[in-house]
Amino acid sequence: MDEQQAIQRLKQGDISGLEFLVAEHQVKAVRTAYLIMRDPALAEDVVQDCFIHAFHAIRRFDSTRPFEPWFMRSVVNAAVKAMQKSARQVQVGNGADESLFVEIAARVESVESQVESIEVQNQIWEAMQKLSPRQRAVVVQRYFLEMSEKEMAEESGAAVGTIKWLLNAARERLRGLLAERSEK
Amino acid sequence: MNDKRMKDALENIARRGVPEDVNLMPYIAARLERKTLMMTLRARPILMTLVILLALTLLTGVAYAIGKLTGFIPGIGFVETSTLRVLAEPVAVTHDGITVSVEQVVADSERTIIVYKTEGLTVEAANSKGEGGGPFGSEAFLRLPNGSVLKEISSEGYAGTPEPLINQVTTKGGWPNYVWRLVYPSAPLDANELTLVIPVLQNMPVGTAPENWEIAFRLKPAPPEMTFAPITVLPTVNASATETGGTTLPVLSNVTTLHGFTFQLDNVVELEDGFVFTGNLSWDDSAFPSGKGMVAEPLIPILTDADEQRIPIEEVRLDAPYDEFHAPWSYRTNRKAFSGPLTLSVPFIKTNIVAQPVDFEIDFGPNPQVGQSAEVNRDFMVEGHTIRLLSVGLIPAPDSCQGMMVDFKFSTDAPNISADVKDSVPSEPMICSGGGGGSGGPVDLTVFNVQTTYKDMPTGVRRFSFEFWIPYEVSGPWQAQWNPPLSSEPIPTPQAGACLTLEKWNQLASQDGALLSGVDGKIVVTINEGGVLPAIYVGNPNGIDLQKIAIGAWPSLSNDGTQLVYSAQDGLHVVNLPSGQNSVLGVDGYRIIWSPDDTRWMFTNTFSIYVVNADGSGLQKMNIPSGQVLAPVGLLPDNQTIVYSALSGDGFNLKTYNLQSNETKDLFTIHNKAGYGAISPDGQWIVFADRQFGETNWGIYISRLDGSERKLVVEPEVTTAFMSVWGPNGQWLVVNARDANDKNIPILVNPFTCEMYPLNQVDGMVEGWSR
Repeated sequence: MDEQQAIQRLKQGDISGLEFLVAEHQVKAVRTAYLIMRDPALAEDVVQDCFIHAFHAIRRFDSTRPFEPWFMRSVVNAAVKAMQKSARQVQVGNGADESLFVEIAARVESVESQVESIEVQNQIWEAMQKLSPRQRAVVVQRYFLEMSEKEMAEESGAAVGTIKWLLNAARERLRGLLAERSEK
Repeated sequence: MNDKRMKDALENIARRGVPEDVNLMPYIAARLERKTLMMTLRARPILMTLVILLALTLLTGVAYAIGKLTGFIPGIGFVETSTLRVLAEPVAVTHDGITVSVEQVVADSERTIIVYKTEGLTVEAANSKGEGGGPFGSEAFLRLPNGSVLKEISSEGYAGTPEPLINQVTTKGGWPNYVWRLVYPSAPLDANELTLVIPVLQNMPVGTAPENWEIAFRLKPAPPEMTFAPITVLPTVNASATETGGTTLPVLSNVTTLHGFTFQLDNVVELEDGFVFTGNLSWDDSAFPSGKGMVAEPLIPILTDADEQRIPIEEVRLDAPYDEFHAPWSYRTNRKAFSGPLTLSVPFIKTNIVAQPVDFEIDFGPNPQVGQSAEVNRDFMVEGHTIRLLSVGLIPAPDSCQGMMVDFKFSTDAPNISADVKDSVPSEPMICSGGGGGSGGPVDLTVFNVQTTYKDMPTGVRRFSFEFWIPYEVSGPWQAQWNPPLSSEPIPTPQAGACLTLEKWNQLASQDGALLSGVDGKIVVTINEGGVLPAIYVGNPNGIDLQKIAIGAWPSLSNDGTQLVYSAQDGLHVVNLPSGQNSVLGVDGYRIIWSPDDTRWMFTNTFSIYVVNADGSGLQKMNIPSGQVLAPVGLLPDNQTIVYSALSGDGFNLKTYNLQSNETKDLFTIHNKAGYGAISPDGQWIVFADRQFGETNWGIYISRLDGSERKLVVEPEVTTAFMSVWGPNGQWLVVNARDANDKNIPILVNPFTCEMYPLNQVDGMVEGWSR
């Protein structure tokens, strides 16, 4: 069975179609949710919800389009919504928090091998904790899901300018920190 | 910033947090199974399942909202007129004298609907492999110009509607020819040359008719002059009053909000023969005492007129989707003449409250084993209910799975409570290679089990979280009103109520049966004694001195009570009751009926009706156009005119056949599972089971042989067998009703006076009553 066939089966209510889609996309979906929610159990719960909703909403899905972007958008939305409702909601990041993340993230580019450094990854992860769920979602969408700014804007309902600002700030910060690190 | 490097970093972080072997499917499958909570309406072929999803919005940018769909096509439903395409011209293909023609196609941005019909299929071919000699038909698919195929969304005859809204397309020749409606996903806007592919025609066993049909057709934009059924979009009006000239007048309200639920009537569509009402039920979590819940069953609204007379309605599925807090509904009438205003009422809404999770710890110890269990007997107070955890056990996984399960057994103080359980420490669930087996339904609705699964045995202290689902009925009523336009048709007079109503049945079922004087003769009763076939008993109507005659089915007593014919595993038997002699005829058949003069009897073998002498000699096949499913109903007092039923598309057609003249005459059509009825001894009345528009089950009726003077004897709400029996004097009927435990309780009913008496001493089904 390929994805097209799985979707067609699912449109008929055949759960074997869902099994295929779950097998194909669950890992990436849970990791996407995890990066936003920071809790793997909660991430699994949210992704389960998304698959169940997809099971019932699949008839609205245009099967000429790829399934993954459609589904991942729902995962991101659900994760953000769940985090916003939960008691572990992070305070909306202020400029300092965001710049801290950007600083850490910027170090990624300084030396290629640093990408693989557990320490750097930990620092990035710590920085992400300090962002709001929506901010984390933006980062996840842009870098993990590799969405374009236009896609992110359409999905979030934000103006493209807002998305650009957020990402540009990260890039500017990164260039500055890279220069500073190099001098050291 | 290097995007790829950032991605790699996030990938690594994610990989550390979430391993590769995530396996969500068992949980998803279990939740999908559990979330189908809607009760199946008896005898209704099409149901709606309300599944409430836990949290999501905005899956797509396109909401399938009825308000967006601006046209209504009878037989099709709501359509989006801006993207509408229709069949350019009808197309027909003929092979070997059989024609398949595509008559109607409607395509918008959501669906592609195709209506096709057949002509030239023959009864002989359809039955050439015997009754039940399937498989019949196949799924049809739609091929696009690029070669890809679309598969049906639903394969029901009139998918999306339980019955056609209007029979616009008809076929000649009757069964097995048919009209079929197919629903597919939307076809791309640039795909106008489509091919309908039908591997095997419906009603036809494989190999009995030409197969692999391909019918190519073309779509074109809907012409500007295309008309649609008028839709009245109702503005939201809450119940209020307006003052006019000093007088306060009520304003019709089409929305009610009560206890956090809002019931709204949005549109009324006018058809040629009725109205379609569409609307929505909406709510949010504040409607539930725990702050979380779901609607458990579909709405069953009641429609009444200005005189509070109930108007029959039937559900119409229009493919509108549900979401977390929103459930669309649609119902229709089968006429347009009413005494308005009309009121749609929802008396109650059945929901499930999702309670706040309750934690519970278990110490499995260092080395637990499958098969171990422990009594717990711990009570939890949940939303006013006492739920007791009876025991915890370690049980093996189903055959197709690797791992094991922790089983929690609960008892509750109310029926139908269920739960979900989670281990606070995420563990790999059991791995299943196939679908998990579903558990059987509990006999005791106050006891249930719930499991959590593991790939590896859990050890030590584990903390579980129980989320209980508590049935919760919210009382209304919610109402919406609408004023129908004046109609030139007369408003039908209300039908008289049934003799045996549900209320009356509940009283009778608990009474002791005291038989009237003057009610005598012999009854034949079948009693299930655990064998393949029931046991046949004969005796007095009081049921006390029944005598066992044989093991068999379809028993039929001669009118004088001396002969019994029945069907057994070796064929038909004739028993002389006074002597006890039992003869085997060597032919098979069922639905046995004696002539009024007891000189002969008749039976069916499904496709033919046979007449035979009283002693079983002289077997003769009736010269009725055969090949259809046939059942004898009775012989008229002239002993020459047979009343029989023949399967047709809508049900069973009742007909007469004269044995001397071979003349056939149509009577009327009844709608029950097997076309059985019974003729009164004077030949004037027929008793039969029929389903009327708006009903989910059949009722028991009597009428004249031409269908006139129809009278409801037992209302559909009472569970009955579809066969009833006339008494020898033609004044009494025996109706085989069933109680909640499926125990048969025959009721003696005078359909003309509505006198009724339970035959509580008769522990079986009454299948005949002689002098």
